[in-house]
Amino acid sequence: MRQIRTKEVFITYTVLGVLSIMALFPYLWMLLGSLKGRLDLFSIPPKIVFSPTTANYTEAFVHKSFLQNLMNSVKLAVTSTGIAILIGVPGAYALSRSKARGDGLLLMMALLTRMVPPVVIAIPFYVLMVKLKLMNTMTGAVLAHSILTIPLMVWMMKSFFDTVPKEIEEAAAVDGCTNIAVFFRIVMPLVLGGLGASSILCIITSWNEYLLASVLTGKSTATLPVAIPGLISSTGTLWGEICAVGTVVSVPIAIFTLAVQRHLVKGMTMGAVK
Amino acid sequence: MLKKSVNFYFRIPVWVYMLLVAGFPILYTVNLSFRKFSFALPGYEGQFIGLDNYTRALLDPNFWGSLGVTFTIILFVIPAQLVAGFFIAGLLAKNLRGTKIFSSFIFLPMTIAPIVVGLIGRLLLIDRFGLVSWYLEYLGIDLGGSILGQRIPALASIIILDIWHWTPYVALLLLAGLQSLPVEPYEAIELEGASKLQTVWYVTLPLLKPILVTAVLFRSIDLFRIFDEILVLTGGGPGSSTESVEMLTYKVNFHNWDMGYGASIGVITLIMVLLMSLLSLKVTRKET
Repeated sequence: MRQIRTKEVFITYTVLGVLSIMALFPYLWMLLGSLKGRLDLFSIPPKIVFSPTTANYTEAFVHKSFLQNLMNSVKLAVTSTGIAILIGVPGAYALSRSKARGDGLLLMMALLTRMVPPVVIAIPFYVLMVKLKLMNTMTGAVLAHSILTIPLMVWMMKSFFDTVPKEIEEAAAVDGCTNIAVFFRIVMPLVLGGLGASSILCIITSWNEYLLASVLTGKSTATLPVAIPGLISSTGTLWGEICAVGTVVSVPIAIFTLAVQRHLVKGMTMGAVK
Repeated sequence: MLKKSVNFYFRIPVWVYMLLVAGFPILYTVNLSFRKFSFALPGYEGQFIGLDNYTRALLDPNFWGSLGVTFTIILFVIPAQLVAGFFIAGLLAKNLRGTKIFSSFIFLPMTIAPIVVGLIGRLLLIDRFGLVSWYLEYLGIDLGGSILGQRIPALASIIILDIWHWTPYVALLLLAGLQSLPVEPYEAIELEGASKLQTVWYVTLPLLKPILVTAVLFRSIDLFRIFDEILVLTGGGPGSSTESVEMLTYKVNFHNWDMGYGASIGVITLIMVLLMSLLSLKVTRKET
């Protein structure tokens, strides 16, 4: 093992520190902006020290309807992830435990849905929702987002199931355990952590999505990202509120991501890198 | 045998779902691309018009313009992210104490919703009041007007913004790659007295090739669909100089409501993305 010299350590830490600042600064600038009153936001030179106010948050979430949008985001993310769990987990288990003829095709289709431009999916869903008069419901958005979450769930859970040795299941079977029981009482508890990580990744995917959500939701069903551009107008952009909503959109995700840091590579590359 | 039935029945929901909810819409869009269809335009009721939409796309300067914008972005973003990502991954791979904290800071930008990233960019680049605009003015650098209101600065802003947004992702991929490399080649080359640079060039990079290809492929596919950031940063402007393919497709479909034509552009984009993936598969397979 190479000896790492003190000078190298010092330089490494310094550079990492600089990189961290570069990564964080724009984000922190928005956070600061969310706490600035109108005068402070548009001051020249821009202020780093100012007296903070929560007016932007109250204005957006209490006086305007952004709390509703927040709820919609939560509903959409949770529902599309729930569907992904119900449909994807059993599928991943089957794919992990046995080989069937269409498996390659299925995994290819899963990869395809990750590559397809969202507009291609948006069009047919939009047409369908108009024809079924479901425009102001969350149905279209939930179905569209499940196209994003199910493949992700399948890819990730399959690799987690792959880590459970078959011997454990065989041992339980010898003891007289039925297959369904093996699945629920022996295998699932072992991959619970993986299920949590996969679910969080699915929630993040749905939460951050804009295009499909904006096309397939109406005014009262809009999610948080969709509602933000409404604050940008030619008459006057409400930057304080934009920053406040932007912060609310991104802070939970940042926290969630910290929780699943270890599994990020798997999820974000669909198993292409292990 | 019970085992067989579990494997069969557990597969059914995924298959049904993939075919119905994913496969069917794509086929619908392909079908639509051969028709004249619109909710708003009169006379556009879904008549079959063969390849007319496709010929129209190939002759459409807006289409080629948007391809140009998209490819320009890809051309500048990916090399920058590879270099920066590799550099960051190299630093983190040393695994000094406290790396975990630094990495959670450095990985933050990629977790932010693309549309919020666009807003952060816009906040920094507003004419006069944005931090970056003010700083450039303070330094005496005159860009001849607002950053977002001119072709090249606007495009450059998008490129820089995406580099900020997704370099952590590339770094993460490369870090995972670095951590899974075998030790033997390094021991061998150290015996030969190679310098650090030689080690990287002759050992590290070739071993990382599959991951580099993956990174390039995934980022290219994502960049082909870039939309949210551009929407809030410039709306495609000035003019259509920052209009990506995805943005054009969106406008054609949901502003002009010319959905048959819009579908054809979407299909062309999809085919391009598929070709890119096939190409990268070929490149990786050549190695094995």
